[in-house]
Amino acid sequence: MGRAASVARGVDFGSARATAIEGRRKRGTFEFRAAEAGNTAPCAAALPIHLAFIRRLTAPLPSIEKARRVLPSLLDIELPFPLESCAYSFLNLARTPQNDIETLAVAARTEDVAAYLNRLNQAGIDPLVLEHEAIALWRQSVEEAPLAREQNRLLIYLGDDRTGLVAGSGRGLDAATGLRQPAAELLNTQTGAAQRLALWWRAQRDRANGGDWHLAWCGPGADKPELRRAIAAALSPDGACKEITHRDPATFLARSLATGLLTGESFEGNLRQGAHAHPAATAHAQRSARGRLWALGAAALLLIGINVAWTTLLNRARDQWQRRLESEAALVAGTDRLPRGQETLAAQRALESQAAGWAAFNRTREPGAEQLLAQLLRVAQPYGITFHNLVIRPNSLILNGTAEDWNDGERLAAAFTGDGWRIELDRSDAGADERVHFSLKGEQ
Amino acid sequence: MSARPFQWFPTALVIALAIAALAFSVRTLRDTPSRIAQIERRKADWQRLHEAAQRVAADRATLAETTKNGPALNIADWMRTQRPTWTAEVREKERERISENWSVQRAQVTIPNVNLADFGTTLDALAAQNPPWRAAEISISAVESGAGRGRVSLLLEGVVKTTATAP
Repeated sequence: MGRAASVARGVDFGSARATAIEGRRKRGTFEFRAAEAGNTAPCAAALPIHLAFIRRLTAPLPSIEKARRVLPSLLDIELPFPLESCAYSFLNLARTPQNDIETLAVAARTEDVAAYLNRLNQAGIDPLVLEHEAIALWRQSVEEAPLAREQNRLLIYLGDDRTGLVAGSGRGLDAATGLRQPAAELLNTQTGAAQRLALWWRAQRDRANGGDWHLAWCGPGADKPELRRAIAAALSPDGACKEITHRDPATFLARSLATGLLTGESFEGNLRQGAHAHPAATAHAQRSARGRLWALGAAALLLIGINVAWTTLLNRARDQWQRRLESEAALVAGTDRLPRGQETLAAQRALESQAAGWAAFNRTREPGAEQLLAQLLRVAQPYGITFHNLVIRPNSLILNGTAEDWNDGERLAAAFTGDGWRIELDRSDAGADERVHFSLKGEQ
Repeated sequence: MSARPFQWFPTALVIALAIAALAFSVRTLRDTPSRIAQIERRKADWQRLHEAAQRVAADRATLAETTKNGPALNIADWMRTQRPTWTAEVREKERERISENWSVQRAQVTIPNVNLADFGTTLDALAAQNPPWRAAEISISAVESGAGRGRVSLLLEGVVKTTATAP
């Protein structure tokens, strides 16, 4: 679920005080200012790290959808309490180079969520979103001070009533731990809190195989340099790390929560779920579901419309050609009483029945045999050729005759060579009549 | 029991609509090639008939032009009047029907002894008629009576009116 608001509040809620910041979109950036009392803009709060659970999980499946189904079981194994008693979310599902699906799981016991919401409500705060504190802190930290992919960061939140440590790298958040103690109390050696945190960080460094680590400070206590130095020394007694302090550290968490609500990112990890969901968030979810339903309905109707239009178009084209075909067939056949579906056949039969008559007619328009006879007589006359028998058609001739000269028959044949004529000349030696007898066959 | 009875109805309706749309699309996709093929077939048939109709129309126009002066003259009568000295035998042969009103008539003309120069002039005269008589075949054989003469058998073709008994 995601919703981008134009004005939103983030509340860093502590036992001693609540820091409320109003965030506002302005020309592609966000502007922040202290929220006044009575501000009714949508609000986001964070569930302290010590009340929640965070773990990076890997599902050995290539499909994100399949991974979504098995991730709750994987989370259940990791949780120290039953999954059924928890609110949980899986963030940033992504495929690893090994083709597995990796996610950051956040969870909190429902009773802890309910108790914290109750505390917030008693303070007059009804958050639309309750985000895991570590998620909000890390998001703002990398936004304000981006990390290179191989860089590691320990983000330390020094609150009035709690302390939180978040470890991660340029690839993302990896782990978080928190204590229900303010920063000043960490240095009390009797509690052993600083030692526990130091051990936790060492474990994180070992898990990350050393690497380049630096400390980033935030929270209301982070603007006290002596406190930072003392805690840094307690966490890392063997050597100094590079350090940064986020600007305006007291409002750091509140700014992050407001930004998450403005961009809609914080809805993804909202731990205010089920019976504890904010009515506005529930209504928004229902509106979104209805919107998706209507969008699906509209898409279905559009698809049906396209199908109907396409089918109608094809049918119209087919009917149009059918009408033209019937009209042409009627013209060819000379009748409009043609059996439906057999127009072409009937027209073709009509054409075939008329074909012989039209062929005969067209033949009468071509030159007849008289032209060939005239040509033959014209060529033969100068040579004194005599014909005995002669059969002439417009495109063939057969003749027998005699000539005075051996070559006269050839001269006659030569007159017809070309124009596609194939001529065969047959001659015999002069006989008693002293004339050369020849026969000529020609075909065009 | 649900607080709002039948609240599932819009969802079910939209899902049914989506399934119907998909089924319709599958059917449309499946039927489209055959429908396009039907259209192409009709188009090709029409094209073929259209070309044939154009040929027939051109032939009809030519026939009308050819017969605007009526049918070819009666060949037997013409021989008797125009070549009275010839002992020509004229025999009508088969007819080929062109249209309801017109046919091609074949006539066999036999002339036992004719001067070939006169015969040539006669053929030209017949070919110059409108409509013409065209020589489909000419057979000439020499006769004893002299050079330049022969026995002629001639097959003529001309356009005449279709008679009731024509095929």
